[in-house]
Amino acid sequence: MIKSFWSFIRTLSGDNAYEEYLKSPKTWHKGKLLSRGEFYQKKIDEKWNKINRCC
Amino acid sequence: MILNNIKKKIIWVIVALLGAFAFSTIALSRDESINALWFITAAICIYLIAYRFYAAWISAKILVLDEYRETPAVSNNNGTDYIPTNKWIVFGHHFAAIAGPGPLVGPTLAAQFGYLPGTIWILVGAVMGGAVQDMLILFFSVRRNGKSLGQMAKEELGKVAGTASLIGTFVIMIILIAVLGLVVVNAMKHSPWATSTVAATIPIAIIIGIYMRYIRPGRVLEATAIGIVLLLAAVYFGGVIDKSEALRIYFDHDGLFLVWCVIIYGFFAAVLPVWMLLAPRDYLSTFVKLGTVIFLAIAIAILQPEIKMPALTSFVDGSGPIFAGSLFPFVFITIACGAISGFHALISSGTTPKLIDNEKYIPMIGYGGMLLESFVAIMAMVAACILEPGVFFAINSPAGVVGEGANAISTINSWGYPVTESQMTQLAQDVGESTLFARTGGAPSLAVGMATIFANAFGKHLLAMWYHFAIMFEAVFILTTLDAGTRVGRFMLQDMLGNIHPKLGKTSWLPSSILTSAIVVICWGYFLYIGVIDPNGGVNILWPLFGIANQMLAAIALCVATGILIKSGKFKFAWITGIPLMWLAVITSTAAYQKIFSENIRIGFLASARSMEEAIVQGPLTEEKVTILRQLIFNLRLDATITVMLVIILWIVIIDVFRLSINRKDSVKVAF
Repeated sequence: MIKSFWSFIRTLSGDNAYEEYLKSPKTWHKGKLLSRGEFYQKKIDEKWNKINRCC
Repeated sequence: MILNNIKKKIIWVIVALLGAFAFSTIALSRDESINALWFITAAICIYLIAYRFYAAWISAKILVLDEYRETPAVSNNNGTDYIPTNKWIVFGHHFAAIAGPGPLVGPTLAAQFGYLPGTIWILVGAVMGGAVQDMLILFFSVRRNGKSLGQMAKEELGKVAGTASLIGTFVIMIILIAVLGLVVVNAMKHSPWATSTVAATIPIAIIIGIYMRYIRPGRVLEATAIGIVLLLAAVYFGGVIDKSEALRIYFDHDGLFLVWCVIIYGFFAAVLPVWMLLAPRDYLSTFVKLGTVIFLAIAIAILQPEIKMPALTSFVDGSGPIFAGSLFPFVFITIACGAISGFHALISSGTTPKLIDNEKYIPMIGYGGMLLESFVAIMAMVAACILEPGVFFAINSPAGVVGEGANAISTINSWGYPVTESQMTQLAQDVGESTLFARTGGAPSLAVGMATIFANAFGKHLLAMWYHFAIMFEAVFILTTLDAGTRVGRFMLQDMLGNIHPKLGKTSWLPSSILTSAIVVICWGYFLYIGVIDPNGGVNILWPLFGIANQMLAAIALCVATGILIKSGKFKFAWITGIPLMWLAVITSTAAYQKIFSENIRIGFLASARSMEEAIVQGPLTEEKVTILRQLIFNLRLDATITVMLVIILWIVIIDVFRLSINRKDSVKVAF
């Protein structure tokens, strides 16, 4: 119960996004593997180039 | 099986009866205090019934959701923007995106009519309008590969509607940022504690930004936990600064100085890389926001405070001190977010449709997300209405309307709301502020309301801490909206300018970023500046303008939805969006007409401009005063022009839909 809640919070906040990225089979076929820092940078750049906060 | 069915039916009958009882308690009670728990009960029962029956009926009968159909997240899965995601995670992202400061500020201002009009509109508006809009736009966007509202408007209704929604979005963004900036400035004005705490959030965001980018990349939760501890420390040390004669002068500023700070801050926030300020600030604000909202709900449930505000005040006639204008149409303009908000349509046709992994979750995310936002608005209403009405009006009425100090007290007493000067002084002292008179914008009164609830539920001696925690909580995500909005405005502008000169359209080209950010900041900075120099408090002008703009965008979204329903041969069901659409068309047009042409100088832009011109002619006035009056006159005419433009845009789009419904061929059925 606590474990699944914790994993929910991690997924919701994007805390485990890099681990998921490493696990995902697709990523291995796309050339260069991103480092933690590069991956985080890419994620936030994608997140903040459009309207995703409202009134 | 049959027994189970009967059991279920009995449970729904109980929910319905309980909801009806709670609602009639708040609706019919006069001159007797009622418990805030009835608001919560009525809201939850209405949401449950609306979700279980209305949303389910729309999904099954009209949209015919198909759980076996691939969503764009699945068919286009590219690991970047199209990603099939767990429904609760999508719900969390969607809610975090739609719920900003709007549902907190709007109900607080609308409480000047009494608790009842705002509460009814929040509940009915959300279940019949806002939630339907959000769900349908989400559904149509999912069926169109995640297309945006602007694209759908262009394809379904025509080029004019597409352009209209684009212009509308930009205008709303500018006015929204200006009015939110005004709310923050008013909360920080001559308050060293609030100013230092809010200022501290900037270095805190940068520290955890560096932490997440370079020290422990991507460790969002660790960094956020550190950030929240630092934020709480900032609230505490703000109190220390406030008590130190040597330090407090550095943070004791008037509105105009703070306006410049916010403008400069907004510019840098839009130009700096996202990892540095925007992203870390957003993580903090999202967690603080969710935490505080849950905390507030728990505190209301424990404390069960009594509502002190009457059901209706005499200000339903339009003479209200916080903003002028009668109950109809202004309560529906003042509360946009929380009942229906056009801005949500941009989120429902933005990130969310690209994450949903099954159509069957659309009601939960689209309809349910809006219900939760509506619930936040109900809690804001409760927080405003547990204050003594006299105190509520003393905090929220601008000095230009009620006078200062003793004058304000006698004016407010003459309305029949008892409050004394010593009571206000004591309250200001308790929350650690020099004064609470004329702290317009809604944030201080919401903070006093929240602090009262928190302090009574979790420790009375900490009122000042709770108050500044609440101010920090509001400021933190208002500034996030300001940062993110300026940035999006910059992208929209770069997109448009790219048509003129391709290089200007490149978001990574620094000169273009600086130029477009500066233009966007100047646009909202102008309205913010005018809002602060306006002696009647800029809220009276800016908030209705924002409401009209936001409801206009909602009307465009509902036009798109109605148009698609008609085109798909569902004309007989088009009322589900058609009725809210007609209602919005009526209220926005009426409000716009009154804001432009009313002879009452507190309502009508043009009448107000005329009266200022007369004042200049009659004189004698100091040169400084004449300059300010001229700026205000120019601004009032500009506001009138913007309002006319918004109404014209609205009716062009409505006529498009009308044409569509006349020319429809019921035999032709195009799939959604």
